[in-house]
Amino acid sequence: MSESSVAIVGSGIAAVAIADKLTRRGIDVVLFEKGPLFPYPHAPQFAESFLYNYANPAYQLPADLKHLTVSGDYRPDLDAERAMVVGGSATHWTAITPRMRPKDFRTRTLFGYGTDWAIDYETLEPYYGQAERLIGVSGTDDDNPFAPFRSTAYPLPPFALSHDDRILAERLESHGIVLHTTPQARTREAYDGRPGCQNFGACATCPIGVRYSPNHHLQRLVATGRCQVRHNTSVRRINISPSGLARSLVIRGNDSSTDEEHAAKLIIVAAGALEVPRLLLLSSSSRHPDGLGNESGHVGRHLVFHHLHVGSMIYKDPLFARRVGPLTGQSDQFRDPEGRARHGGLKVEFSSHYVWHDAAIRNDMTAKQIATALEPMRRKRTLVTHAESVPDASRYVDLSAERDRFGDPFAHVHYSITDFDYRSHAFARDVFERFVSATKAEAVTFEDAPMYSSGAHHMGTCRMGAGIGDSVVNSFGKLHAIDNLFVAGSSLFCGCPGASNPTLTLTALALRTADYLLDVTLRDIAPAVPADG
Amino acid sequence: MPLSRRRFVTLLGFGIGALGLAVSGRSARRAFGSLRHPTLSQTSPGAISPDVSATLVAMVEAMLQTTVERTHYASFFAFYAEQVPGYRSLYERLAGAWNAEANARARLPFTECPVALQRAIADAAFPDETAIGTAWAALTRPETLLSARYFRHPVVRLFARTDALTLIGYEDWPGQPRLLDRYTKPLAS
Repeated sequence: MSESSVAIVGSGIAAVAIADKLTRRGIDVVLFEKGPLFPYPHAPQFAESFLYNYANPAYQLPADLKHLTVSGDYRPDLDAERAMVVGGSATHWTAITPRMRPKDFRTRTLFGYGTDWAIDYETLEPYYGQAERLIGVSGTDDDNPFAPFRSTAYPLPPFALSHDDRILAERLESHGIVLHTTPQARTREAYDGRPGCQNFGACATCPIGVRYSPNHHLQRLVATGRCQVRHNTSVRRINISPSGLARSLVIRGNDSSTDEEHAAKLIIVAAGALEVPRLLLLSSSSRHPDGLGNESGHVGRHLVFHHLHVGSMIYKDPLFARRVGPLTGQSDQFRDPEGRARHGGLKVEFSSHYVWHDAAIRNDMTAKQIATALEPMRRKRTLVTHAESVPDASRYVDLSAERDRFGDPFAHVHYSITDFDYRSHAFARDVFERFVSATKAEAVTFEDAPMYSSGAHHMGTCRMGAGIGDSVVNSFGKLHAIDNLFVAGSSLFCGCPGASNPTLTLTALALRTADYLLDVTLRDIAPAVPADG
Repeated sequence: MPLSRRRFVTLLGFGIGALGLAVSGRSARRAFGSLRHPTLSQTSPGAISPDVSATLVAMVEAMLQTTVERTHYASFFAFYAEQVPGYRSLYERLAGAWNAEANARARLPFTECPVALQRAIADAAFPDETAIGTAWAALTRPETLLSARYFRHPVVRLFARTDALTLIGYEDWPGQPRLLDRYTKPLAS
């Protein structure tokens, strides 16, 4: 049996944020990642996916290891929204990093929907600053009158609005709408060993590490000798000792035929909001017949997505969007609207990601024909609305009837649109029409409510709360009834983080968990002075 | 009403016939489907020669009826030939066929043919991609469907994502270090 002080299931941004703090204090950590290695900087992946349009099978797990079943009305490929590689889904993220607003933590009290979080903005605020420094956020609040209080400045200056965003911002301003710069985990200038942005425009696999990837820190952690990453290794169960503490992980190499056991003083499950409940449910035993942390049936419940809708607008004159990779213009003006209660808040961003007219291209076209087909792209902008949603009984994760190569059930996700979402969509459409009118767009389309996508924002499923009766973990991610078993990541969320993209919040929560571990759970083994000075 | 022996045999015959037709129809559709969507043989990857690479790039220009950034396409073909099974032998076979056609028509390698002749060879090298054209090609020239799927389609997609942007007025295409000093300003032109 192998062992370590700390074992973390998953190697994504939450896992790395915690491992970074712990290894700095001299604690040994082993991360278990089901997926393969994913080289960093991501130059090879950039070349393959962007220059050669090639999906390298080396980075894809086979369907008998990575799969889930889905019911309800969610249309996109939910499984494809998860990247199971070393570094997790944040190896591919868009890296937009807004903070939640203070009211987002209290929607039940203030607006009568959702659940109040077991933490408030003031408590999390210092950790937002830490998270921004960890992942290198470029931004400013100088042009954003809707930004919440902050005690520390952004570590890097913002990406200025693109020329086309500025044209539209001026038109919006005359109609009372503020378009401001976008905080994002891209290094506007050189920072912490990462270069300044060179505007490759292929941010999903930034070849030089400007767009933050957890592998940036993971490589450093491994180099300290105090951190190991065991990739291509599936965690099948968490064993609980007779004393009621988490004792070990049952693991298996993806190509192995036998299980191994890995013992740890502390276990953290940070494998994404769809896999975390699966592992807790798979770990049922006579002592925990319904799975770990599931004494009152909350594991897997309270699943929620953001509901993203894309609106496209064609203008009379060319704007030439997409001359810069990062998104530059967004608006927080509608995140806390007057009608909040009847519907949710909304984040609005001008995106260039959808301006390509790929669908207009036929495979037998000449260059001239292709240029003609692409011409509208010069005059096109897309507006993406992120609508807040709320957990509902029709949204949950449990175990599937289908099983993986080891015989363990996959996760099953049930998700359906609600009346609240229809009302939020109507609000989003109103806002979109205000943008259309203010910016003088000509041809427009806006997706219908059932056409929502999650933006790969999967949240809830092990929500935090006051006790076993209403939740799975406390605000530090500790399972209520198991003192050395923690959950990290967006699984802890009590619903949507308002209309904010979730990653900065989940990173801040993970950093707070790490401090708690050092101060409380691991106090006896953590040296008082940071090992790295 | 009791079924007579004669009626039973007749019905049985119809049943077997219908089943046979359905099965053979499915088989025929499957066989035709695989003709329309051929797959590459899994031959080993490896480097292609400069001559093969130049022939492929010349075909890109003939097919798209424009000039392109040649190194961009040469590196695209080199990647697939060297990394992905099946492409090296496909590229060598295609270059060989196009050179043979050029030699037959003008006693020149494809790269040295006049542009008009290169375009004529390109026209003949790929199928009409309408539904009817594809079906006809599947029956008469199935090899052209292979070259369409593994040569023309990826090239058209690559061109649309890169060079085509400069054709419609952008100063450059994503995938290159474009720096941050221009995107906040109007296009120079």
